[in-house]
Amino acid sequence: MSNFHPGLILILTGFIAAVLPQKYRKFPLAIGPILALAAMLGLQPGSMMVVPFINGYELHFINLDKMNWLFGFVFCVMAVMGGFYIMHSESWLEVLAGMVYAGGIVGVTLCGDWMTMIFFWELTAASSLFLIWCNNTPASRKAGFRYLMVHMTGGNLLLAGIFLKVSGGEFLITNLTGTCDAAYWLIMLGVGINAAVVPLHAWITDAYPEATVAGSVFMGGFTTKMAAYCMIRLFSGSEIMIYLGVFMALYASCFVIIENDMRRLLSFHIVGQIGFIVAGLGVGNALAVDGAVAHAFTNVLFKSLLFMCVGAIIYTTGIRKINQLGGVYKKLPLVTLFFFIAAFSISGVPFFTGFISKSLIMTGAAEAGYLWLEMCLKIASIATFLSITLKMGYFIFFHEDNDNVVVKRPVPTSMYIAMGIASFLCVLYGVFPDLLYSRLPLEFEYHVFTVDHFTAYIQLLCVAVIPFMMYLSHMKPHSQLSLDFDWFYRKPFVSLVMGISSLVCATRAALGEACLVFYNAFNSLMANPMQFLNMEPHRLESDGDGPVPEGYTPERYRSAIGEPMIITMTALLVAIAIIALK
Amino acid sequence: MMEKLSKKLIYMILIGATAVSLVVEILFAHPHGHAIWDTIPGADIVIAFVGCWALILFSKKILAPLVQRDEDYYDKGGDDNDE
Repeated sequence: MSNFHPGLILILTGFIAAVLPQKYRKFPLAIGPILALAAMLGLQPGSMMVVPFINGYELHFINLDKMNWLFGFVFCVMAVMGGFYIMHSESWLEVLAGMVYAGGIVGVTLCGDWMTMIFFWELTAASSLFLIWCNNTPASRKAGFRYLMVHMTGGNLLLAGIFLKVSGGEFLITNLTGTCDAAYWLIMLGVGINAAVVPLHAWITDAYPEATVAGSVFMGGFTTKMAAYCMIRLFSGSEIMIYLGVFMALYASCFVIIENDMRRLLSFHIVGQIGFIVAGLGVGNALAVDGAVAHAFTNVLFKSLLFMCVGAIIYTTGIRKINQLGGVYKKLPLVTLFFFIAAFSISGVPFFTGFISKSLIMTGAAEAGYLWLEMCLKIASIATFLSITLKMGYFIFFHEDNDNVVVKRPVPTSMYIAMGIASFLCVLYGVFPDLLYSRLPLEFEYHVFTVDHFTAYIQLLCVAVIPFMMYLSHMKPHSQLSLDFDWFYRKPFVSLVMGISSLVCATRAALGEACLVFYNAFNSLMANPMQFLNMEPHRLESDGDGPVPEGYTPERYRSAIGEPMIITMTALLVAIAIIALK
Repeated sequence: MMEKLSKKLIYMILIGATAVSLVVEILFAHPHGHAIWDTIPGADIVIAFVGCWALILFSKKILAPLVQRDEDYYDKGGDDNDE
């Protein structure tokens, strides 16, 4: 199996599924990602797939070490879950986009050179766009367009950085920490946009809620985690990342408490969780970097599970706002179970996946001397528990029944299978953390199941419930929209563009007017050049019966025929006389 | 009345679990952290309570009035209503 590229298998799966009739589509969607996962398992750190390109350049489609093997593995697992989750889709385009997107993500993860990376990077941006547009609403079309603009900007920045690298003779991807040249900043901006680094993150909270139900699951599991992988690969140990990461975590922590749209809330959580990863890779010691890798890994599992659960609720009820839901546990008990597994995982409850990865980052930060960072990440963890397990969990599933909540269509079995796989993995890795720890790239010694870890988390989580209950009547979100950084390009930037456009139009119109005035003046001036030269006409009246014509008329300025005739004859006579006299 | 009772029960369970964890921490935990909150038993109780209140109050009282708008905010005003 080692000769097969898992990403290319996924892309091929997408094309096969797209051309098949809908009733047969489930077969490639189930088998293709499993084959990709098998191909991934057939690869090991050290595996390579190199294809000759032009001018001696080689494309490293696969260049594996422990880190990208782990990411490749979890992305293939995500593709398996995604394949099941998207089976119900009636749109061939959505299925194609989803699988090509998954293949692109695996392609970026496994590759070893810049050119292959940018190719797959752009492929992910282009294919994921259709997961938004396939929702086919006015809001999704506009959000998709903004998503396209942001990602093309990010992609071009990355391309510019890669161009500098490749033109400088560096073909293979390496850690950029310490270089601080133009390429470093361009690549950081390009990757930072995809990693949803605040303030470049607004595309995520803008676009993800507008994607299709399955599309948001794919996007929630893939793009930011792929960018997190690139961040770890390229910028491990860059101190600036600590500050960016902690700001992301705290920024998202505040917004999730007031947000009402389920998928928008989860999108803010993506920003927050990527903040943990970015801070961890910024710390740079083995424990924190491995924590960042582990947290990205676990994030794929529980974040996709959360998106699957809210997607199932939206699919069956058509409702996406928390304040319009209530009592869902009676109608969708299995979804409730899966949701709470994901919520416990993301909150860091012991024996769920978040616990084994978050604590690595926090301990790594403390060991490196960043005690304030550990404190900030603890507070961000509390916010996660507060907003997902408590706020979403209570108001969606257990709050008083809402008559609007009607199960219009049942949750497809394939969706349950996908949620079941994700839930199983969330618990499996939570109970047996060594399954993950043994695969982490750096060597470290850490015991997660210690009494002080347990007591700390139990205290943090139990006590956080008390303020929530005390303030319960105010915790229910309202039907309002939270402005984010996308406001800058949806309001002032639009006004700026409209203003510049109006100014250009007004300038064009004024120049047109000025040209017309000049043209008319020139015309009237040049209507009769003889007048301009102060020459009087020889004839003032017209030859015929009509009026005297205005402007220049040659007839009026032509002299009588006699005068030139006399001059000519005189000259002729003089000439003859001179010749005769000689 | 029932709601008040169940609320009271939840409070008691939470306080009980916290108290048990505190006792276990004092008796059995061997903290190997570096910060003051790793060495003082029950420090996480204070962090959680204060942190949670701070987050709720900041978000609800300061952030929400600043950033929350009507849901059709972007659709009115002509910039986004091209449909």
